[in-house]
Amino acid sequence: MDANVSKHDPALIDEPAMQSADTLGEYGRMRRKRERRRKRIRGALGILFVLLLWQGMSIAYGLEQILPTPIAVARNIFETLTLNYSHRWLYGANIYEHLLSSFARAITGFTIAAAFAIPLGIIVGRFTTAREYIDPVIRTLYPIPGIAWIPLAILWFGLGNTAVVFVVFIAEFFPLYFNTEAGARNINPVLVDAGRCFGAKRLTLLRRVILPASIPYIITGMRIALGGAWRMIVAGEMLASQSGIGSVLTEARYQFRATDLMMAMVLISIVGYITERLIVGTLEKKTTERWEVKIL
Amino acid sequence: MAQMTRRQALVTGSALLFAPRLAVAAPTDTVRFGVLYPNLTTVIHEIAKETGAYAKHNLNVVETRFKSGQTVEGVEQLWRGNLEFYMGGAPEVPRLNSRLVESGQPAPLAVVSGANPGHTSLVLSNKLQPKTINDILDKKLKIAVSSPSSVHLAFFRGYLKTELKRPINSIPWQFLKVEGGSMVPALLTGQIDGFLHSEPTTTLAIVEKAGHLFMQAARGDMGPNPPPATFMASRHKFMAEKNDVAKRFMRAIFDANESFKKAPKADMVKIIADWSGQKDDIVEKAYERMNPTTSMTKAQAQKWWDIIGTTMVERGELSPKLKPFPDVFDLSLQPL
Repeated sequence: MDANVSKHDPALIDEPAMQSADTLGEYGRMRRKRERRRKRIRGALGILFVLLLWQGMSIAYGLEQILPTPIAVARNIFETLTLNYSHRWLYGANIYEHLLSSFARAITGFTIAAAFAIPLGIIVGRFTTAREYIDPVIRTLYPIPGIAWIPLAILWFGLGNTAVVFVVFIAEFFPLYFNTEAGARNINPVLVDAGRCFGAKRLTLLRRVILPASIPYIITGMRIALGGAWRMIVAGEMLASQSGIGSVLTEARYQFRATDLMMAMVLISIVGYITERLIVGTLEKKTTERWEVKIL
Repeated sequence: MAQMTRRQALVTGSALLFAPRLAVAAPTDTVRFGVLYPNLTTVIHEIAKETGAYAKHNLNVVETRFKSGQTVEGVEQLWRGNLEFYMGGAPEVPRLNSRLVESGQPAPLAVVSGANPGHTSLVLSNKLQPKTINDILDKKLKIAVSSPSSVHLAFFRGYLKTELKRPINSIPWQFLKVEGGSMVPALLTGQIDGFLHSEPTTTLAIVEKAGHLFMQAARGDMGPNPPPATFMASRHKFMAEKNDVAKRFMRAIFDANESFKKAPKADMVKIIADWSGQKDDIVEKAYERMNPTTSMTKAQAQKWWDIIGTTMVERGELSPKLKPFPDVFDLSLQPL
């Protein structure tokens, strides 16, 4: 082979093959676009069907007091978010302050849980001795539901933020720990051996092989943990807090305001979804997608 | 002629003996009654059971128990037709009626009677020893209430407005939501500076030396003749359809009132302690501040409305369309 001829010499490029690759690429892009559109339309139709059913049932059975119509709930959400209330706001601070309180608690609990659960999961997943000591303790604590910790948390930390953050931490710790541990334990030994062959020592091995290979599991754990955090936040705030979306829910119940109850529920769902997309989605992009790792 | 066996003779004899009684006995009517339990506010029901007042009025009362703080659940069950009567915290019935009136429907529930079994108390930490309420109104205090919608807070709000001419938002107190059972430990551990609640929490705080009784509605500290803090409610539909049963039920409650007044203190202490889940000695110490008798005059109902109801309207909890009579109170069942 002529050494002067470059691999990228245009003369060597097969034009028809190139064109067909372009066409295939274009076709693939079109297909993916069509699939995305189809998914969106079907998703929207599903949601529309549920909303219509909800509206119909609420009116047909005269259930406005216990099942307010989606239109009434949407109107209430709009009024609450624009702070332009049609009836008196009975829940102290405005909705943004309540959401911010809940968000801060969720993120604090999540961060503390991640700081403990991820390193511990990796240690337990990689070292048999550690697993034999630690795993039984964690598996014994795991069946205790997060909500069962609330009375104890109030006793230990008093009323307020710390008690709620503690129960959120408890709820988030386990999914994060178990997923990280499973990820660290199930790493393909070939990857670790290859790392060692290239001279990677413990920390380098951890940073370059173990952590990236466990990331898909950790991300899944984070996704489950964040969902659980919002569930626990509401339960904790209902019992041990003066602010937050959970306390709005409780007070709305005392006031028999079903529309406010549903408004709070919808807002929890929206904020939970946004939080998940922002935190886990961003982390996923920066790790899993960048490193092109996936659960095998 | 066939001979009568001993068994046949016995049955025939019994039938002859009881026939006149069976013929005059009215059928027993079942009344489903929702009560807070264990709780001091509903002791009158236990007294009615123990003294046979329900049986005397041919009533089979099926009780449904709700935990303290679950008045919302009780009122919802009453509204949904799963109960005929409910006894518990006061503001929930007008609140539910208000939601219905706001949507253009008639008020479904009626307050048929009321009570003031434990009275609203303001208990303060031992660190705070003010001479008058004015000494602490401008201090930043953490005061526990069972919920932001608590009847005691509503009453205190009304007292501030009517007696002291000060709206509650003009004082820098922070009202913390704490369950009744956690108030004394919270006061002991310095997490709160005081609480607004009723007996037996007040006596528990005194006995445990967690705090001292600073104000109590029963003593007239929050204005003369305090309005009822506990309501007995029923459904208008039931009251119209089975008016006789509803009236008999209220007569049984009034008989229980009389029994309480006449009975020796020791007997009542035992009943109250059993029903409220408190020790006998606590109930004994709190006895002078307790009165489980249940009855309400039109004047008392009006007073409740003037002090608490109007404050709830101003706060936006109740619709301005709601009228005390007939949207909230219907006292026609009481044998007054």
